[in-house]
This record gives sequence, C-alpha cells and structure tokens, in this order.
Amino acid sequence: MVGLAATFGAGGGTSSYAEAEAADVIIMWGSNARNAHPIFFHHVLTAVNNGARLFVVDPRRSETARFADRWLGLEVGTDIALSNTIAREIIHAGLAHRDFIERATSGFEEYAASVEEWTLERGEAVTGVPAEAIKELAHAYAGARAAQLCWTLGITEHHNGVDNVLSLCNLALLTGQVGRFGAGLTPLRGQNNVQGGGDMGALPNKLPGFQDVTDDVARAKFDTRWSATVPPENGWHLTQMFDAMERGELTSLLVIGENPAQSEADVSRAIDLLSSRDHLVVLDIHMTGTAELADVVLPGSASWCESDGTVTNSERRVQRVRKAINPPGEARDDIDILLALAARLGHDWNYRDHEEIWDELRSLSPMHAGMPWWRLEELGGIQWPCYSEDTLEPPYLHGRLWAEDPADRGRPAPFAVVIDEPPVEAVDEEFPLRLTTGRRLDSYNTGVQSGGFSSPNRAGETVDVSPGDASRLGVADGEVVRVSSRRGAVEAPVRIDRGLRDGLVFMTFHFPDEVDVNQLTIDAVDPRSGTAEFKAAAVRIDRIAATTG
Amino acid sequence: MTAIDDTRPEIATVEAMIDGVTVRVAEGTTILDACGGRGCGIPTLCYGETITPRNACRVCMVEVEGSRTLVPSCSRPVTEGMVVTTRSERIDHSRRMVLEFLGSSVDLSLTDHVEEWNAEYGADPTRYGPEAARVDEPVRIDNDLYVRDYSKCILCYQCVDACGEQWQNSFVIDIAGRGFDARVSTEHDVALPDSGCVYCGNCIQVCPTGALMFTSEYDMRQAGTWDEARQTQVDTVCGYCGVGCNLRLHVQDDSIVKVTSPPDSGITSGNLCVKGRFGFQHAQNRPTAD
Amino acid sequence: MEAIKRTTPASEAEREAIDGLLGPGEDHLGRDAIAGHVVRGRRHLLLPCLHALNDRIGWISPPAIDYLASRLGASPAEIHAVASFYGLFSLSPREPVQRHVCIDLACRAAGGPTEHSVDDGAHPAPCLGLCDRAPAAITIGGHDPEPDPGLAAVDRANDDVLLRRVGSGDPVDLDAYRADGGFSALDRARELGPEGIIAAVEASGLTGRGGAGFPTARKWEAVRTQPVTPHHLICNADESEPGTFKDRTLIENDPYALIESMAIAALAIGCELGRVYLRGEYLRAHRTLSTAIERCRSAGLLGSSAGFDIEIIRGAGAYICGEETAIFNSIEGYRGEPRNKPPFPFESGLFGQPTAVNNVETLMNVPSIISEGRRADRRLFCLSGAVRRPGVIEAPIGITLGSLIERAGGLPRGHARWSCRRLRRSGRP
Repeated sequence: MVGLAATFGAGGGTSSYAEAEAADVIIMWGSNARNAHPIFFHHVLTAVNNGARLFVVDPRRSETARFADRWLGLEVGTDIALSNTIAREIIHAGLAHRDFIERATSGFEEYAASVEEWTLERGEAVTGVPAEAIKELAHAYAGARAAQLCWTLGITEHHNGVDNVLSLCNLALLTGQVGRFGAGLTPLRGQNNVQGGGDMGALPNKLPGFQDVTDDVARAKFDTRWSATVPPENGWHLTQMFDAMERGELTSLLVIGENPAQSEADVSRAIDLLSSRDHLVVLDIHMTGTAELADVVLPGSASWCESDGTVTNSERRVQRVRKAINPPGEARDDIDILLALAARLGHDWNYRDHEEIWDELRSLSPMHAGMPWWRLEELGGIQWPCYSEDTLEPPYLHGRLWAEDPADRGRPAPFAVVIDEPPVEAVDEEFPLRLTTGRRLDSYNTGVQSGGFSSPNRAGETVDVSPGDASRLGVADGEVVRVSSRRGAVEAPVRIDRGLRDGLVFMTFHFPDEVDVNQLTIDAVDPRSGTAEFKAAAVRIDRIAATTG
Repeated sequence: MTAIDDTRPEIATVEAMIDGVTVRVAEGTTILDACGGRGCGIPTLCYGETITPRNACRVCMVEVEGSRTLVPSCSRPVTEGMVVTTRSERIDHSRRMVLEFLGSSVDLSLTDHVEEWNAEYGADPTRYGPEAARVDEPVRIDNDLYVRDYSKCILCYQCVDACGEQWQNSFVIDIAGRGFDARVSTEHDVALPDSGCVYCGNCIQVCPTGALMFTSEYDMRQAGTWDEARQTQVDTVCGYCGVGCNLRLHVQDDSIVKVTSPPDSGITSGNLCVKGRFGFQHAQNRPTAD
Repeated sequence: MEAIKRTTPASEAEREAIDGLLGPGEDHLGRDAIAGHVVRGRRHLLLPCLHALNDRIGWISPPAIDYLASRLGASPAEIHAVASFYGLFSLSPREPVQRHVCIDLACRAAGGPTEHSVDDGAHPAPCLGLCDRAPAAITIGGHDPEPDPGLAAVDRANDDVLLRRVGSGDPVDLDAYRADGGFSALDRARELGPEGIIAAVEASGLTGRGGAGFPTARKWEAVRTQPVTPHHLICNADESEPGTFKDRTLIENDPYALIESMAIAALAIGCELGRVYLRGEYLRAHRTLSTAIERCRSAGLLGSSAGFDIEIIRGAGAYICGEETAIFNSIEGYRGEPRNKPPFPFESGLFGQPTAVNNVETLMNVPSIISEGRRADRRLFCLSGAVRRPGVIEAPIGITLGSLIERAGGLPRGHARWSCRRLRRSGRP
C-alpha cells in the first residue's frame, strides 16, 4: 500500500475483480491466489478460459502456476531484477507507451537509465529465469489490450517490499496498463479487513479515509468532531512498536484480534517483549498464543457473524457484515467493549447504534461519504472512493491519468528508480537452503480460525523439499527432520514437492502450536511498511537420526 | 490519447410473443428468463442461476412455433418474432413423462416443488413400479464435510460444471460411464480424500436434489433436528482472506448450520472456498466461562 | 485442475504409447515451464492417446490416466469420464488383443450368439457393420486386421455410379484410380471455384444421406460464407445403425473417391484440413484409407503442397457419435454427447468454428456431379439377413423393396416367400 500510495496517491488496488475477466493478459506475481485467494482466482480463470494469457512469477511452481501459460520460477528475492529486465526489454523493443509516459508520468529518463544495465542475459543470470520467458512476458504485458498485474505477500514480505511494489508500478506506468477498464494493479490483501483497517485510519500515519496525520487541515476536522486533539506526529507500525518495547518506551498494549506471539518473524524475540510489558490487554475471540501472555483478556465477538458493521475488501469494496448469532457466554460486541473501556477512562462515548458510528466516519472521510448503510445494502457494497450519495465512481482508480486536460490529469505518477537487493540473509555453507513461507488452501494464518473445521486435505505442518534435495539429504517423504536457521530450530515431517526447485524449501505458519515456523524466519523489516522478510530465510535440514546418533 | 470508454454499447433487444403476450427482451435472453426465470411457473430441475444450462432434465420444455420438437426454455435464446407457448396438452404430457421417469428412478423427496408439479401435471412416479428405482446406491460418507447420495442424483451436470470450467476448475468429478451406467464420479470412483477435491462445496450449493449435502445438514436430518421453518438466513462477509466473499449464514437456534453464498453476488457468484464454506465452526467452538 | 495425489507411475510402455503422440514429456521444473493453453490445447489428442493405450496395453490403467491427465493439462476424472464413455476401451486389465462378437440382428439370424452365449473372453458387440458376412466377429488390438476380400457389393449393375469401382481391382492402386479418370473431378472443381462447385451440387439436388436429408449445397454455402476461420469439413463415417455397411463398403473399395470428394468439398467451403470420423470397429477401412491418404500425400495430392490434407479420427464404440454434434465433442477429446442446437454446426461446430459434416455416401456423389453434371438420384441399400446374396445395392431412388430383394437373389430356400405384393394383398403392414 505504501508503494501504491507513493506512485498514485491512493493506497488501494486500482482495479475491481470483474475487470480481471476483461483482461487479456494477467500476471500473478508472488501470489498463489489459487490457494490464498481462491474466489478472486475464479475471476482470473474466467478470463483464462476466455483466452487470456496467464503468467505466474513465483519461486515455487505453485497451484496457481498449474494454470499458467508460462511460469517464471525466479530466485527468491530477485523480483526487482526481473521487473527491471522486463522494463528494459519493453523500452528496447519500442513497446513503451510513449504518449502515456509523456503526459501522465514523471521521472522516466532516470528510470530508463537505471534499468539500462538489465539486459535479458543479466536478468537471466540473476533471476534464473530464461531470457526467452522474460522476453515473452515483457512483450505480452506491453502488447496487451488490458493487462492485470496482481501480487500478494510474495512481493511485500521482503525487507525491500516497498521497492518491490514500486518496481511493479513502474511496469504499469511504462505500458499504460493502469487507469483503464481491465488494466490495473491488484494487490490481494491477506486478511479480510486489512484494507478496511487502513480505510479507518488504523495506520500509524493516517487518519480515516487516508488523510495524513501530519495534515493540519485534516486533523483540525477530526479535532472538532471528536472534541479532542489528535497528536500531530505519526505513530508506530507494528515492527516499530516492538522496537519501542525493546527501548522501554512502550510499556502497555491493547492487542485487538492479532496474534503477534505466533505471527511475528523471529517470534522468540516477540514473545520476550510481549511477556515483559507492564500491562498487556488482549481483545480476541480465541485464547490465542498472545492472549496466553496477557494480564487481561476481553472476549470479543466474531465480527463476521456476531456483530454489525462494514469491511473493505481487496477491490476497495465496502460491504456490510451482519449479526447472525449471539456471541457465546460473556463475550461481547467489540464496540461495546471499546465504549466501556472509554467510559472507564473517563470518556462518555455515546452512540445510538453501530450505524451512527459509521455515519460519523462518513462525515469525516470524504471517500466514504456516499456510502450510507441503506445504499451499501441496495448495491451489495460500494467501492471507494464514493463521494456522494447519488453518484458512483468508475470501478477502477486513476482514470485521471488518461484525461485530455492536464488540469484533470493531476499530479503525474512518478517512476521510481529501484535497486535490486538480495534478501538480507544469504544462503551459505552452514545454512544452504532458502526457506520461503506461505499459505495452504484449507488453513489460514496461525490456524486460530481454520483449526475449527476438519479438512481432509490438511496434513499439518510439513517442510516441503524438492525431490533432488530430498535424495541429496537422504530423507524420505514423511520423515521428521530438524529445520534450523540462525534464530532457532523446529522439527517437521518432510513433504516432497515436485513444484520446488533444488535449494528451495517451503513451510507455512498455520500450526504454530505444533511447529513454530516463525522461530526460523528473519525479523528484517522494510522500514517503510513494517513488513518483515517472511519470504526469505537461510536454513539447513538435518536428519534427526543423524544428529542425535 | 483518451481513456478507454468502459460504458458498454446498448444491448440489442428482440421482440417475441409468449403465451399471446408480446415481450421485448435483451438479445440472448433465454425463453425461461423472458418468462421470469426460476419460479415463473415453468418447472425446472437442472437449471441453476449460476451455471450455464445443459438442459439435461427436459422438464422445462415449451413449444416454439415452427419447431418440430419441443425446445428447452432454460437454454434456448429468444429470437426476433419467436412465438412461444408454455402450456399445452403436448407440453403437459412431456413434463408428466419427465417427472414420472425421474421420480420413478431417483429419490426426489428433497427436491423443491416436485410434489406440487406431480400434482399439477398428474404425474405418478410409482406407475413404473419399484423395479424402476436405481438400485444399490449407498450414501457415500468419506470425509467430514459433505456426503454424496447418488440415489438422489438426476445427472443434471450442475455439480460437474461447478467443479469444472464454469467455476472451480478442479475437474474432480465428471460423468463416467454411459447410458444406464452413467454416474457422477471421481476417477475410478475413488473416495474424495483420494481425489483432488479441495472441498470448496460449490457442487453442493448447485445440487438441486439434495444428492450432495453438508454433513452438518445430513447429521441433523438423520437426528430429526433439521428444521428449515426455524431457520433464518443472514448475509455477511467471510472473515478469512481479503477477497471479501459474501456468505449467507443459515442459522437455527442461534447456531450456524450451513453456509452458502448468494448466487447474485458479483464477487462470488455463489461460490466459496473451503474456508468460507466450512470454516465457520471456530466461532462456535469457543470456550465459555461456564 | 488439482495436483494428483497418487504416486504410482505409468509403465514405460504406457508412457511410450502416449509420448508417441504427444512427444516427450516436458521438464517439469524448467524455470519457464509452459502449461496453460498450449498444453490444454492438445485435448483433441485424447482419443488417439486412449486408442494407443488400448491397442498396445489392452486397457487403460489408473497410472496411465494420471500420466495422460498431466500431459494434457486435464484432470484424471475428466480422462476417466471420456475413457469410460467408449465401448471399445477397458478400464480393467485385459489382454491387448480382444475379440468382439456381433450379437445384433443379422448375425443372430445367421446363427450368431446372444449377449449371454458369446465365448468366454470375447466381448458381445452391437452390430459391427459386417452383416454381409454374418455371423461376424472382429479382433482389435495388437495387430493388423486379417486380409480378406473386403468386398460387400452384390449385383453390380453397369450404370452404377457410387459402386462403379467396387471389386474392380486393388482399391489402393493410385495409378489405376487416376487411369480410371480419378481426380479429374477435382481438377474441374478447381476451375469452377467454390461458388461454381456449390452451384453444381445445388443443381444436382444432392441431399444428405445420413438421414436428415438436408440439401448439401445449402450446408456448404452456409459454411463458405462464415467470416470466422478456419472452416472444418468432417466426413461422418461412424456408420453404426444396425444393418448398415454401405459406408464401410465404399471406403474399403474406393478410398480415393472419398479423398477426391472431400478435396472438392473442402474447396467449396474453404477448408484446409478435412477429418474422417471413422467407426472404431472399421479396422480394414481404416487401413485402406490410411494407405490411400499416405499415397496421395506422396503424390502431392494431399498435404501442404496441395493445400488440403485429411486426418482420420478413430471412433471407439459409441453409437451416439454418429450424431454430428457428438462427433465434435468426440474429436475435441470430450465425452461424445450431443450438443444443443442452436448454434448450428455451420456457424459453431468443431472447436466452435464453422463446420460442414457430410456422410460418406453423400460425399461420394460429388465427383460425378462435378465432372459429369449428374443428378444425385441414386442411393445405396444394405441387404442382409434372409437374402441369398447379402450386400450393398445401388439403385435409383424410388425402387421397391421387392425389386431390391430380387436383386439380392431373393429369399433363401426354406424361408417363407413373403413378397411385397403378397404382403400388400394380405393387408398386413
């Protein structure tokens, strides 16, 4: 989101799902959407079945890659090398969209100069992807009538995740594949309301509606409405909070619906820091690993079935969630809990109902102004921005970039010069294997919710290795092995995966109670987004028999 | 250089006469949709809102002037000047036969509307005797999430198409065999856990006869506690990934008993993944103080 | 499609049978693996692959299905569904060479077995189209068919048009065919051009001999004028109606005439690759036609230099595949189930593209129409069962049943002498 906001001024995917069906070229980059976002992938498959070409860029030959016309199996962490090579090929083949670049962008010359060193040969040498495949993708993307470029955590969960995103934005600017129906950039959000959280201002530097905390005019509006003074400085994102805990500056925490004691990279450090707080309050629906560390646990409601409100999805669509059942036992609606907390802290927050809170938000966030509940019901959700109750904006963002009148076009979208940087932790003799992490279809994050049903396909945590590595290590399918990194070690059974190349191993983080994979991952964070490099750690695998015997 | 216009061209329309009434509909509209879609009075079995009709069941046949044979209203598009009759002696006879053939060989007890249609068309599914029933179809229970009872299957293809190219693209089930031996089947009829099934349950949602059923519903029916009259349906949004799929929660006695998705959702078209379809239990498995 | 969980690999022989048609398997983990449309676009090779397995191994095993699925970007369930659709394929182990014994009418009348009395190890088969030599059986798999006369015409008449060459020598002798005026109609057709060919066919009054009787010229004109390309021509040789064997007789005895007919039809509709959908049980016809096609290619009459080629698609024992839209599904590698009409084949047929489907006998009328301007007023009749000389007879449309039976030598001794006249007189239907 940081990268998209830097390029286009809005931190949201530029397209809607239905537009994927209108595309004739679709690139899934660092996204195993078949497993992680299956219903979005239905829209992609509709396009594919209508003839669209699908490229999948992923170190693993994933379930998504099974459907691809071409799989580009790059080395972990060489995304910028690949995108810069694609860019150079597009420029040299004369396929750059000169008109669009000239009128709607800035910084092209510096960008073009920066990618000049990325010949196909160099790109192949660094990424491992054959030059011919890079060329094919470059020509297909640039030549598409309408191309969708989609990504997920394979792009963002790197120490340079923001640069990765910028490098993809560059490709869209280079080819004019943005701001038109069917052409755009679609980051798929990993969690159901992470977009909505951002919309509502749950970001350290934003007020609701992506208004800057440092913007005095915006802040004044909130000050008036809330009869309080919003601090003018940006807050901390999660990783900075942990650093602040380490420095002793952050002593008390209220954790709502998050499980950092199991989801953070280098989780041992996270647990140490959480355990040594003055006061830790956790509001959750389950007794998570984090809740176990808390001084006070407030049992909340499952927002999707036990309360009323809205969520925002990856296509910026605000939709209603509705209460269907009552929370069990003493569990209470999250808003009731927050209001009661406010009351204990001496604030009388009074709202008639959940809808009144939403209406307050609408009065403060222009991009949500046109979304009263009745209209959300009537239209089955509305995409932001929606400025008034009697209009709807186009389903895609940034159409302004194509406007005839420079005044309508607004700020040109800047190209970003991005430099290829390998993962923080290189593989070496001691830790010769590259561990990358991700999700499986029938499980979700730390398994708190998905553990509640019995999936016939769920086999628990495994360490997936290539057939070649398995035979080199002398390990058999199902054999429990020790996986170690510089930070810790776990034991897990081997699963031989023909979709992996030698040298690459894969694990999830779905079963932290059994196998705590985040003992292995590295806490190398992109300072701009606060996202850690879950996608690249260096590990070794040892036979347990061999190490104990 | 201009933005590509995303407003679609005006859709052409055609005019036809249905049961003596002139109608004007968008080109490509089927006769059934021109009549008001499902529930308009024309019986349908194999027709579902989210699947391109295969017109396998032949219960929706109507007369079209100039056509030698009856035509399936669910899949024949209306053309300019078409003259359609939706009720006649010939049509009723055909529908009666279809209802009797299907009703005599397959258990339609959980299929909506069949009883009223039998009455309306004077169909007597018992007239072919007990021998006509499909024999030896044990209920298949090979996983914890859904059961398959092919004694209720009318081979409408909807589950096959939902699993295949139209939605899920898993292609885990297909029609195997031919003629009387034709069955919906995995390869070699292997159990679902041995097949590639990903348990999205999109086949269950489109099954019109209850041949595919959530285990939660099956168990409650077996226990005699399933009571649709006591159920409410609430639409909400899935709590898993960021796609924001629309869920329809079926609630009985303050408890979610099954999850479907609204067929008219622009996001899901009635489809979900395993997490959205079956992953609701965690909300109901929470320890309470007592 | 999802990953396959089973790990038992296909045998070497199975992989060879499949790779023989699809080429060697791809390197699964090349960094630029190609899948998607290119792989799924080979689905039309499914039926030939199933034949290759069935012919070589005798049956189609689960590992073979898994391997085939992975090679075609399909799922095992899809492959299994198609394989289980066809009567000639087995999904359980059996010997490569199989005997199929006809249990249908003509053969039963000639003392053949019933479904329950066939020999152990043999398969009861619906009409094999060998009624002229009832009781009939064939062997499939593992070897070439036994040589035999291949003649099924009786009572040859001097004015025969369609059967003119039946029994007149080696059917695959290309020089003899040319010496007999062969391919002169094609030369004439080239002069006429598509519209001229269609006008001539129109003038002849030729209608489809497959059953529906649709005017051939109208069908061709409809395909010719379709803007979508390519245009397809399919010769429907899935002769499966019990008691019919005329198309087999024509292909076995006069393959070049069929090739020439298809070349003319292709010119008319604008098609570069014609397909013969040949009944799976017609092994002799397959061999004869294959040889003839090969020789035409060598002579430059077919192939890229000729601008037209012909491919044979072997059916696999499914009566329904004689229906034209079922043929499309079968060729495309799906279950041979009929499609909805509309859309009609002339606009959306094979691979969703404009397609003309013509029966063998229909096409065989074309050369004489083009070269001699004949009217299409003759038809073929299959006589079998209680006649002295079973076989195919060519006669003008309108001939009585009685005359046909007379030409087949009348009823054998000992059979009740019901002539048509006596039937009429007695008032029985």
